[in-house]
Amino acid sequence: MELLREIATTIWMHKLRTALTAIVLIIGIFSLIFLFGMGRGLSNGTMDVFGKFATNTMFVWAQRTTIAHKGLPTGRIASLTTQDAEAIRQNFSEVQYMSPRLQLGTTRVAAGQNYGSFEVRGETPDLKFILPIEMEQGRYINGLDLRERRKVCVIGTGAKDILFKGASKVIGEYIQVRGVFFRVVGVQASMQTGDQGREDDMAVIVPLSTGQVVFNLIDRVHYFTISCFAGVNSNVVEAAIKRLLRDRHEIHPKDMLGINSFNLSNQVQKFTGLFAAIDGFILFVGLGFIIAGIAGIVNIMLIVVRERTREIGIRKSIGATSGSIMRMILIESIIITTISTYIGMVLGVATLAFFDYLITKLEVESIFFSNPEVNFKLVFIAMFLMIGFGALAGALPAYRAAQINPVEALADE
Amino acid sequence: MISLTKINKSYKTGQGSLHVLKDVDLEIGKGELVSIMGSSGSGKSTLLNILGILDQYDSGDYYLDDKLIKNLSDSAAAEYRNRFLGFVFQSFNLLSFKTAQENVALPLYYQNVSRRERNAIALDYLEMVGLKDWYHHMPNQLSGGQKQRVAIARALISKPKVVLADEPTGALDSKTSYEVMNLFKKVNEQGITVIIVTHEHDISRLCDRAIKLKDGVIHNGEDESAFTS
Repeated sequence: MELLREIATTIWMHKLRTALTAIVLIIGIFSLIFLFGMGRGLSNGTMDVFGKFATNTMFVWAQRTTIAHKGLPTGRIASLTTQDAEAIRQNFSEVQYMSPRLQLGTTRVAAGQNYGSFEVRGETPDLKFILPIEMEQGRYINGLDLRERRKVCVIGTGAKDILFKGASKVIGEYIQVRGVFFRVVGVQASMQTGDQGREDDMAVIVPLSTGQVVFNLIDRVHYFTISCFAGVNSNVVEAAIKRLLRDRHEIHPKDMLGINSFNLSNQVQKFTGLFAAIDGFILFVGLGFIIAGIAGIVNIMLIVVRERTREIGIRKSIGATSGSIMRMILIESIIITTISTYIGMVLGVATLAFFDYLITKLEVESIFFSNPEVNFKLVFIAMFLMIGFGALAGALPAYRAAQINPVEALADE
Repeated sequence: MISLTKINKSYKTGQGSLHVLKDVDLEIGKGELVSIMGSSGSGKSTLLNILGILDQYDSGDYYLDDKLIKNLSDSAAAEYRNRFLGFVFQSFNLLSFKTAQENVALPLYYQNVSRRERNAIALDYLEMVGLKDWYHHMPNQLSGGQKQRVAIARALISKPKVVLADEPTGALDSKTSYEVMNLFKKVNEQGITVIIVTHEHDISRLCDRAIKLKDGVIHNGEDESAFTS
């Protein structure tokens, strides 16, 4: 206690010197936390684009063939069917959800006096488990709708706002698509940001089977959205599904475009890798700052010891042991390091919180940036490390101080 | 109180070594007020540093209060300095960022005396040197004579057996010099051995005895003029 009081007095009486020592480290810690938080914000923002998308999802569709096969020319487009969906379901136990999808194009949709152009799609109940959508009202398409070809629909929140201006309850209302009435059973909201999310919010969804019948596209399917069970290598399943479809539609096994696909897990992996790299880079830069901060402390403590040579000489002449001098310098170093770290931390976290507040308040949550944050466990680990570093930084200066010869120190002017 | 026999001390220099103290024999009794005289380079500061256990000697024996002071550990030397010795310097050597009271109390800090207690004791000693009203002043708010009196109070607070003063009046005018010397006399009357290093004859004459040092050798009973610089 007495020692701490003695050191506190010394620090207080040399405010400028102490502040200069601390400032390098404060900036270092602040930068580290700020950079980490911003990196996390970037990562959060980008990952939000995927929303709660099942990240092992793939899309499979047919395009014009590029290789002639079995006497058939190039340039054909295979017509995928409901039977293909059955085949996939029967052959692949790795597939958890599979949704054959029908695109009816952008169509004029009306509800009473209101109307607008919306993308109309035929979907199956599985899709709800694949796409990151939430039911704002009502329910999604279910198995009964599909079997009985019910004329029901789910509309996106955006479509709801246009078709039912201001109305809060729209379940049970009717909309008209190409002269056919559908009863609204649900309103869906996408959890994705960006174009994808907007698309789902502006969609009008009918049961696949109803769409096929009503719009005269018997058994037709435009593409499949498929997600596998966790732990399954979706790349392997993707390739096998494409082999199956090529075989069923007389497409050359090597015709990559004839049956084409897109696998979301590759995309997610790329981003995950990218952000790991960014985190690593930030850590590297941040550590650089901290090392510079510590070197600064060692440097300034050495100067402080030099400057205090005479004081140390006086203290020794009136009975201070080398040990007590060493403790004094060491603890001073630890106190400065700890306080600087703490200040830097508070500043960093406060700045991040302020950014977060601004983003929320001004609603500038952009596609690629949201919720900057910092892992508190990391912060505390860093803080304990800094106390250790403080001891380390103080060790050399403290040793130097202890070695000071009082005779020379007192002669020092 | 102090007994030196055949003390030798040399310093290494660039070319070789400089023999500063040559077979110094010295006896100083309890309660004496002595001066050590000599011109600069005579070895008087080195002698004082050895007496003050701030410096080591090469050969010989030094007994302080019948204890052999030789090859002491760092902490033992610190303990002796703290309990047996009080230092007064030409340049006062007060800590500039502490008040007069805190400066006086500092030796007791190293004896683990509580803050309240040591500050109370420090106030008594400041009263003794006539500076009680100045206890909360910083050194730079005090005159030279006042600073030296604070330094003397600091030297006395640990109730030392010996007070060592290195040119205590060197930075003071003659009037304050005499005031300081009167203080030393008062201290001496309490039975504390006082050793004053000086090159001023006026000061030396106020002491019971003068020890004259020239080129590292003690000269007794020689003509004073030999030391006039």
